[in-house]
Amino acid sequence: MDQIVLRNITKRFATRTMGDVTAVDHFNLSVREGECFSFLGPSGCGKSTTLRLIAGFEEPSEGEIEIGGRPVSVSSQNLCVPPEERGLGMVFQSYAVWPHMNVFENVAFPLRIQKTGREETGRRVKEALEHVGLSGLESRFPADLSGGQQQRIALARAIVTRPKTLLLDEPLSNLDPMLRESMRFEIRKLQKKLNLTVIFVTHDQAEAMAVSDRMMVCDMGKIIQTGTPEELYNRPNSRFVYGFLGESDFLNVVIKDGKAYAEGDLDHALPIPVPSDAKERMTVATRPNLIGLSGPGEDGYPSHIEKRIFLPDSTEYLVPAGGQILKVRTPHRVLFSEGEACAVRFAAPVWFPYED
Amino acid sequence: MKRYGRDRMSAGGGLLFGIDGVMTALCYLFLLIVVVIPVVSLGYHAFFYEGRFDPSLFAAQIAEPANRAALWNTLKIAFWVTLFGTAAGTFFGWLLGRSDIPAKGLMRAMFSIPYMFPPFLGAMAWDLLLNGRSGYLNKFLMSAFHLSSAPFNINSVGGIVFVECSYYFPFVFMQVASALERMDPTLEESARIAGAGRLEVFRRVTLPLILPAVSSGALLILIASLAHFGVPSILGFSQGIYTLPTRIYAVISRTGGSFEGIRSGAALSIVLVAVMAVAFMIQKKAIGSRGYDVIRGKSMNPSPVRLRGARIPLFILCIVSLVFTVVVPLVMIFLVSLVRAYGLPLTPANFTLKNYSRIFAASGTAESIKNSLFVSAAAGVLCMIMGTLIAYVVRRIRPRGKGILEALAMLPYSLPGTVLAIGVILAWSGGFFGISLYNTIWIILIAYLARYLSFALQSSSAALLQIHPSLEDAARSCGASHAQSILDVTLPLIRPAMVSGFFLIFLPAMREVTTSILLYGPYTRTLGVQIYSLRDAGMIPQAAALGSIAIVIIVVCNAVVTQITKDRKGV
Amino acid sequence: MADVVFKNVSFRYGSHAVLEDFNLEIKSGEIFCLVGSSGCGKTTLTRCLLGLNRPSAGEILIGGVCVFSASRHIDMAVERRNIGMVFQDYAVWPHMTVGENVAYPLKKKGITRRETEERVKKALDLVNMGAYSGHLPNQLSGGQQQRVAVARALAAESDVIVMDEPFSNLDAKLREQMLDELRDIQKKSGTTILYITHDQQSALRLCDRMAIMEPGGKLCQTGTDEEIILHPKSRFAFEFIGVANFIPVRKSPDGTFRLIAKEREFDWVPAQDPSEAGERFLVGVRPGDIVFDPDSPLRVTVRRAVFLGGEYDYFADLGGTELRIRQNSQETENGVPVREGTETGIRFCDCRYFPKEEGAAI
Repeated sequence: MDQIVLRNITKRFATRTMGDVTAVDHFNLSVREGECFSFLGPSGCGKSTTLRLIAGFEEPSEGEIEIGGRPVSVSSQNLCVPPEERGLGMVFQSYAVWPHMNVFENVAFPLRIQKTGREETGRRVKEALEHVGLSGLESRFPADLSGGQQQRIALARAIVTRPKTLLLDEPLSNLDPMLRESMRFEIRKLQKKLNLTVIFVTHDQAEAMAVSDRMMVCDMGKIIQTGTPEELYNRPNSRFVYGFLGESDFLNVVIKDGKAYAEGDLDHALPIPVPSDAKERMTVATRPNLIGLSGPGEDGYPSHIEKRIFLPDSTEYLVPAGGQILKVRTPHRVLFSEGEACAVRFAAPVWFPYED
Repeated sequence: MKRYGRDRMSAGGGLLFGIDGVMTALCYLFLLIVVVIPVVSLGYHAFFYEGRFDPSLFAAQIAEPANRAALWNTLKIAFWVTLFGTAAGTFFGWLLGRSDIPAKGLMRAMFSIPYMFPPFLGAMAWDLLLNGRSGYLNKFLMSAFHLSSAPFNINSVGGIVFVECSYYFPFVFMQVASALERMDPTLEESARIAGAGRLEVFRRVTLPLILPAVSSGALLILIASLAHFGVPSILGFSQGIYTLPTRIYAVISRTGGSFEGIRSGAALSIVLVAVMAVAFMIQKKAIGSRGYDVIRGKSMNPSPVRLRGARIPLFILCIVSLVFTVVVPLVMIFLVSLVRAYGLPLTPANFTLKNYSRIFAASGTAESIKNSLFVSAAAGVLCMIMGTLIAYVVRRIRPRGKGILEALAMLPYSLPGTVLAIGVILAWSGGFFGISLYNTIWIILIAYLARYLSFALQSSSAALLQIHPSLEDAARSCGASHAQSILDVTLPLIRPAMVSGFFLIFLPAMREVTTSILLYGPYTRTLGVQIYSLRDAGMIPQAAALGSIAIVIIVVCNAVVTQITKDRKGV
Repeated sequence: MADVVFKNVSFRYGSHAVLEDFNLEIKSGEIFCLVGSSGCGKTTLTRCLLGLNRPSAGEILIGGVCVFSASRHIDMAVERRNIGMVFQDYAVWPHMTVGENVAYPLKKKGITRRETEERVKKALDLVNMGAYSGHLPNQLSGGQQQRVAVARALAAESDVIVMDEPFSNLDAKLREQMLDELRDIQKKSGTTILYITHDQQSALRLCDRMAIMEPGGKLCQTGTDEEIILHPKSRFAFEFIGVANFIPVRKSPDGTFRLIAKEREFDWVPAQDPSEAGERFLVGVRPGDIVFDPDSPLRVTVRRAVFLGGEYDYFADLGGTELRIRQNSQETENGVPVREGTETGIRFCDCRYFPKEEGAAI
């Protein structure tokens, strides 16, 4: 069942300098019950605005939004249910825990608004704090807690009323990398345990891929592609998605006699199967860890190592191909030195129309 | 974490008494003259007589019923002013900081006007309007509604509270408006998501979060009102209503400035200081140790609260408040300055410009403007230099005892002007090494320096905190010596703060009455004193004329400072 | 160009010893990166070199000239040490134009105006900021401001340039680009650079040689990037550079090896000869050097599989010990990762041996 449905949602803002700006342009989207769905895109792509539209902090200029089958924003009927009546949980990037309340009071706040009885409140707060691993800190104030702990309070506060839907707006961006990784996992675990529908807004592709069942990539107010992380990563519909989802090598090639040549080197064909509908000039995309290096005598495109950079968990090589440079990553155990000849092989290349 | 610690002391390159030492010594010397000696003298003379401990004077002052009445009035007025001023300031602060009321920018500028408008001129204006016997408005109301007695009497405790309120509510207003502006909007949004409606969000989240701002603004009102001289002296003297500061002035002027009178004043000063100390302690207790960090998150504009139907009525309320606090007194002073004789109806037939020419003919007016300009400018420049120097020593050189240095420089901030003036008189009228500055402009300058030093220190300190020490270190690694790096880098960077610090002192000094009234001599009247004495002598239209001139000077200077701070580059 | 030598330098902050008997030689004309976690004393070290901190003991020499010696009472003033400095927060003077900023050190050295102009232009061109000479710093982005700071240090033609976390305020992509540029610039100018960072990745990308500093101000390994990566000297160095798994190993009397996981032991055939490691030691292996092999006797249960795009990140249970494993998505069976809950085998295809610390928790 679809928990959240967006139909033709458009949001325009009036600005002083640029006139009307369309931040969200005809979004059609349905998020299924119990899935974790990410909005991924660079800043200004409209992902946060969309989330605020769903939360009810903004009114759509056009279109309608349904949550759990109930219309909450319908522009044609001038209907916009206020945020407090949408029954959502939400976590903000800035944590937004109230500094004048202790942990217990923060988490109990939504229950107090609902006029839940004291015993019931105590029980539910305890349960929520257990879920996020903060038991025992009830009487502490946010100022005495770390950023990670504050974010857990925010999470506990968001789930304490047992909402069906949780909105997360860049929830991990303010945390340090180690913590970010473990929090991803915890959010995911919680989502599965409570069978929550989660919308997760982020600009970090690794984060989006790690947490989502499905995701949407957007850019400049438009949805570019929607699908599972694997679908988007392995079958991107555009160069933008390919480039945004991971480090990439884009190689401009010339097609001659059914073979592909790197621009600037028409002597050695690239070991890449050419699709039948290829135009004369194409761009082929691959990723640094999908390029293999082997000794000079072996199969592959002959080249040499221009530069070697050791990284913590791999070695990065810059390898010329015609007039262009390929970035290649290999495990440390595959070792070449600078200037050494090598053969280059490509796995899973993806073709895009030529772009300069 | 990087440590920029005391080790910087050694950065001079091993000079035993380098530039750092000279700067530190200079700061102590300055504070000794303007703060330490006056304060010690005050304490000494209140309790010691001819070298012996003698609390009898102090006890006698406390026992005196008139003084106790003054103490009671002071507390009463301060309480009500703080209460009403805080309520009004919070309300308007929220209205302009969070709601969708129209013309916000303009209104914010207007609401800060009472800040620079001299309260004693406001009191004068209201006295002209609502004096129990001869107020213009009272007379008008009496004839319009056939009343047998005046409907309002501004010469009362209530009147004093009303006028002080209208000048002091901006203390809370500005704090609240800026706290709301800096507050992370997601703190409120997350409460909405939690199910709370707008009112509930305000009550449970917004209000508690701005409480520290409200209470620190309230404390400012409280100490300002406790120490205030102008309004109660203008509105209260005729009815025998005294507060501690006006009572001290009355005691001293009654004895014609004799040593006995000044000693009595010193003893009363101790009472006033004790009251202030209690106020500080109460505020500390009330706020507790918890300070909130309401950091701003994403630069998402918080959606303003829609006032809907109340929007226009509230807008009108703002306009009316502005008219009462700003426009009415201003217009009144100006109109009265044109009237041929006080008491005549304010009709064009009775208008003349003669008052303006007449005040310059009166003895001391031109002199008083000159004096005020000189002493205010001198205080501005010296405070700015010394404030910056102390800030630099405290923040960057960090010698032993930097806490003492800072505390000494900030001490006069919490002392009422009246008290400072008495301290300065006791210290520099022959008390030390026979140096007597009494009846000279220099004694006024010393009092101003003490009074306004903290302003300069705060503005330079804040500016220095913005300038990372690495900027100076970078200059040194480029081959500049310590002194050169200060001159080439630090000084140019805090120059804008120094300039605005100068005006922060110059403007209030131009309209100062409280300390000058105790320190002036026959040839050293200041502008404020001159207006005050003209009015005291019954030359009310002339006092209004000089008041109008003072207002023009202040407005022009304010326009200049706004222009300068707008143009600052870099930083 | 000059070499830098720290000899037995000690520095105390109150009663806390930040540096103790610290020794380091930086060769003339190299980029030397000092890597350490925050609070390890690396910033104190640079401040000692600059003359902003005064060590309690030891000597510092720049280009053979003694700039500090506790025993001989030498403490050359900051401005006379001829060291260029680039700070984390750029420290570009906001009231001077880009050109004036870069010209400042030359002015202080009394260089003629004409030569100053030439050198400013050259330095700005070198950092690709030639067109911005008349701009004020607040019109520039963070990366551009840091380029100005680098140009200012270059223009002075100092003997040494010290850079303290210069690019850590920049985002990852820009940082990488700046590091590559800096390397090129240094190769052209030949200046000795001491680069301080907490980020091992930046250090590896930039350095000729590097040192890893342990908390407490001790150097745990000094060498080229290749030496540090391929021949880590200690467990600390190995772990500091990147994610690592450590498992204790015991040699049986019969010459075979046993891996000692938390709850059980495994027979193990090492890929590399551990004969020099002794009877009891630790095997250290990076997540990317573990491969799945269903026939291997080292049995694991996959607890978590996270898709990272090009790779899968696994958390697996080896007899109660948690292991991190990385698998290139091309190495999966038909693009299908090992599912969570699967029981399978693993092999270590590249590992290091470290002495086992007694009583250390693993």
